[in-house]
Amino acid sequence: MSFQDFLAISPEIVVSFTAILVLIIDLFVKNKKILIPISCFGLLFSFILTIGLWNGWIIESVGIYVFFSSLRIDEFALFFKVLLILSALAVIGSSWEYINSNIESKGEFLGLLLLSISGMLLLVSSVELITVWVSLELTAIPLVALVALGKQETSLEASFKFLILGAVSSVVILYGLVYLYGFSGSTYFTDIFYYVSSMQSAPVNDFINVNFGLLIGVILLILGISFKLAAFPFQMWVPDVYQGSPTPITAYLSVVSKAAGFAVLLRIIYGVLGGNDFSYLLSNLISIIALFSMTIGNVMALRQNDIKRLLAYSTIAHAGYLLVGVASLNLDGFGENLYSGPQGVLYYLAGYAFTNLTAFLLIIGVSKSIGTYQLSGYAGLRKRAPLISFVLAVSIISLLGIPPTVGFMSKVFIFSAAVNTGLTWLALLAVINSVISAYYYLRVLKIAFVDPEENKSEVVVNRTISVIVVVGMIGIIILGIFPSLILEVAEIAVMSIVNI
Amino acid sequence: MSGLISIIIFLPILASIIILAVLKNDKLIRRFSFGIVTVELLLTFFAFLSYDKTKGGIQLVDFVEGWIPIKGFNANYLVGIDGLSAPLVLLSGILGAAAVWGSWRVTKRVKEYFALLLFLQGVVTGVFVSLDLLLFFIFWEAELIPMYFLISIWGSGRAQYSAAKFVIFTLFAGALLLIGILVIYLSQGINSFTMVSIPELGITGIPELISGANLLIPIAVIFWLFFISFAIKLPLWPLHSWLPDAHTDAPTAVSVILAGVLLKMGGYGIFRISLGFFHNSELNFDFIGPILVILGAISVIYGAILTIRQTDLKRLIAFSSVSHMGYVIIGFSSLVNVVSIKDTLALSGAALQLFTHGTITGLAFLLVGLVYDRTHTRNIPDLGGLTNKMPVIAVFFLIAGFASLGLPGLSGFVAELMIFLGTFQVGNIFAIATVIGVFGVVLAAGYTLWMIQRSFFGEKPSEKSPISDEFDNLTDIHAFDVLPVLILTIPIFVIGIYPRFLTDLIELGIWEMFLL
Repeated sequence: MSFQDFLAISPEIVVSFTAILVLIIDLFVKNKKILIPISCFGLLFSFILTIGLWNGWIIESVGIYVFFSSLRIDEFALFFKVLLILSALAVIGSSWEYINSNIESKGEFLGLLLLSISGMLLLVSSVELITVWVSLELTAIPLVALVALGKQETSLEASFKFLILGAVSSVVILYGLVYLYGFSGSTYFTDIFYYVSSMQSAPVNDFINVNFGLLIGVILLILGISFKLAAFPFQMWVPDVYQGSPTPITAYLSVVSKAAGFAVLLRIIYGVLGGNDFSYLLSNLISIIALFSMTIGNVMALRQNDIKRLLAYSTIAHAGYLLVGVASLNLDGFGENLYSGPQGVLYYLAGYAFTNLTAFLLIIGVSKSIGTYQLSGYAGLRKRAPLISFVLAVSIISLLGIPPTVGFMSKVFIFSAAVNTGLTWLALLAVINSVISAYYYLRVLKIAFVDPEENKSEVVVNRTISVIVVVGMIGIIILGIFPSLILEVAEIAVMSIVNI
Repeated sequence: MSGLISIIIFLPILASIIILAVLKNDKLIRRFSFGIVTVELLLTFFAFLSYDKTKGGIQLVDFVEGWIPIKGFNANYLVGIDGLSAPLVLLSGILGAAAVWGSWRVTKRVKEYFALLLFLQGVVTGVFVSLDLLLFFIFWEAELIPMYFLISIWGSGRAQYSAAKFVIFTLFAGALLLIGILVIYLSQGINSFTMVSIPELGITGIPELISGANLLIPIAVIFWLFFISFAIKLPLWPLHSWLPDAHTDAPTAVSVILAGVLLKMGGYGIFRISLGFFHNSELNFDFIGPILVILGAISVIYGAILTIRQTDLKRLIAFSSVSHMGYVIIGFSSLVNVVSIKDTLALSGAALQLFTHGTITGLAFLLVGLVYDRTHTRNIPDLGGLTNKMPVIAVFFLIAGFASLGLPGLSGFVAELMIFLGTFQVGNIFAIATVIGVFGVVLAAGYTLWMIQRSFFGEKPSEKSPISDEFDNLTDIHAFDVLPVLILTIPIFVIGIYPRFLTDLIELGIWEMFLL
């Protein structure tokens, strides 16, 4: 272990030190508002370090293994780190008003949030089973407390649900990891990869028979991770927890937590198991999970009247669409497009971060002013807050997937990957699913733009939030018109995990 | 790279952004929008005239290579016009101008109204000029946002229901279209989104690539994916149920655009993609042709019979659209027998019908809007004797009605005659279906004349009618409304008397597409 190892994880170190700093300062200062700039500064510094790592200013080259090969600092990890840090920055930067009026233990709130982020930053670069597990727990445990910090009565209930289901899913993941270790004889991704590839030459049936345990391990892992992704079969917690937790945490769960989950899933499937006879089985399994997720999400969202619950179900549906991209795994698609699935997933996640954060931050701002999360409270929003309602429209249109937004392009890429790998049926069902989703997304638009306002009072949204959501809206449109801005980076990132 | 077509697409879109972001005063917004659509009309007319018939091919091409350049997903920005799309570009210019000019009376939420209308104008034109499938699809879907808001905010009756129904039907059409596009693109040997071949730029389009390609799914499935998608938009029986609702509840200007331009997206799509891509592939049109002609004939007769029963003026015209679009499908079916330029008569007729129906129905909706503004009812039994009070409107309504029922000398006649003659020549089931289709004209005469007789002629409304009290105060056409009405009437006469104005171009386009 050399000094370079520490340099390589400097973003994580900075974030966890910031977390501790925030907790300490919290003990001594009366004016808690100072904690926000400190946290933001820490994240910003960590962001700069990440960019530095990417450009090779800090370590000699991207793609090195550090800490006894348990972490790998590759483009894939850095892509996710940038995404996670920026999303977290947006959430923390805009939530002072919310924290101030709704959270009693402000220092703990920010400290725990930062700890959870540092766990995610580790998670996306870990290439060893035990590191994966430890990072997963580091992200999950602070979140249980964070969900409980809300003032609503439902917060505690939500937190318990999150804790218990989270624990079950963790155990399932651990069980899967044990199988992976037991059959391949190593906890390192590279070793497992070589073990799996060395079996390649064996006839298919023999391969499956010999590696049956490995297969079980992977299946358990995927099922367990579906908790993080908010996907079937571990999707039951989503609506209650999203509704019960403090809204910034909801935003965080729906974007940051989900992105980290997809990072692990992609790394294991494409980096470790990709390109062999497992692919067909995995692809089928993930297709089914995807199909159930989007159908359950969309159908359940149809009748929701609480905007947080509605977006919670929509999150489940979007996890389904994303999984379509992960499932596009069969390697007999046509050459140049081979990795369009994971590329599409990365692009989708970036676009989804913009879209969903815009939507949730806007909800934080608006609900503070109208005092409810009920959809009916949004009636006549157009008149009461013209700019904000326009932003809401753009983010809803992006969630629905209509051009010229990033949501549209994401779907095109994901479905294109599915068609390319012979999953045309899944792509067709996914597009039809997004037709169903039109019904509830249009309802939000209808309430905000068409319905007459019951309450004529102006909706005042905090200036920080306004700025952030307007930036988010511009991002949604720019990335929708020029998708190559992200796609080219995503291509590099994906290539860094498939060519170990 | 002339840039003209790109300006035609993006000028209204840019204008709508300016309206939303900069302009504040309602009066200014109105004038600004009038100016923009006038410029747009002149630009489309200029583009139409500058298409060089002696040269043919795709002209006024704007090409930006590598708009999405990542490996394996090559989409370009490629727009241009040929003999088939040039008339439709002109059509969208005319209808857009008529719709905006005719909206001077709108006072509700003026800013958003004109911004959305102009945005709609831009993206709809984009559909007709896109030569890259992905771009085509983007414009196809982008039209939904303005349409949803325009119908649900400024509409009447069950506006929100109709708007949502419209969006969901169109999204479903878009879903099938997207899968079709992706399958075509990803099939081995195609790997291109380009819809046409442009030899000058060294581009080979899908129509030429498809015959040798190794398609991912059976070609017939791809054909029907595309066809159903466009048939929803057209609309063809039995996929038409969104149309009467959307038309009836939309505000006047939106009905005008919906009937005049949006339905034509479906017809154009069938031409360019369903027929254009597949006509020289392995797909067997001997089997598909009869299905099309039967569906077309059913659409004509079913639409006409339903039209007769309508008592709401707008709904009546909406159902007549279903009937008239059936003719287009009948015309398309004649593709089974196209071997020389003689056989393209019905195809040309179908393309011409797209244009003529646009102007005729646009005019009818505009006039119904004018009547409704005065009487506040569209219920035919409540109307009557309107000629006495609004003679000018009545005259124009008669023109629209006669053109719609196919009076010689007006544009509807030419298009329908070409379709009937061309399809009848094919013989067998096509001849029988055409004969059945001709009865649609008889029915059209019935419902049109009966409707005009009941609402414009005859007795004054009875005591029970809600308008009997104010009947004496009804006024005729306002000076401002003359312009939009005229701009839609002129093409009806011009094409009725001198169809070669369009048919030369259309024939050229069809010849290049199907016979070259």
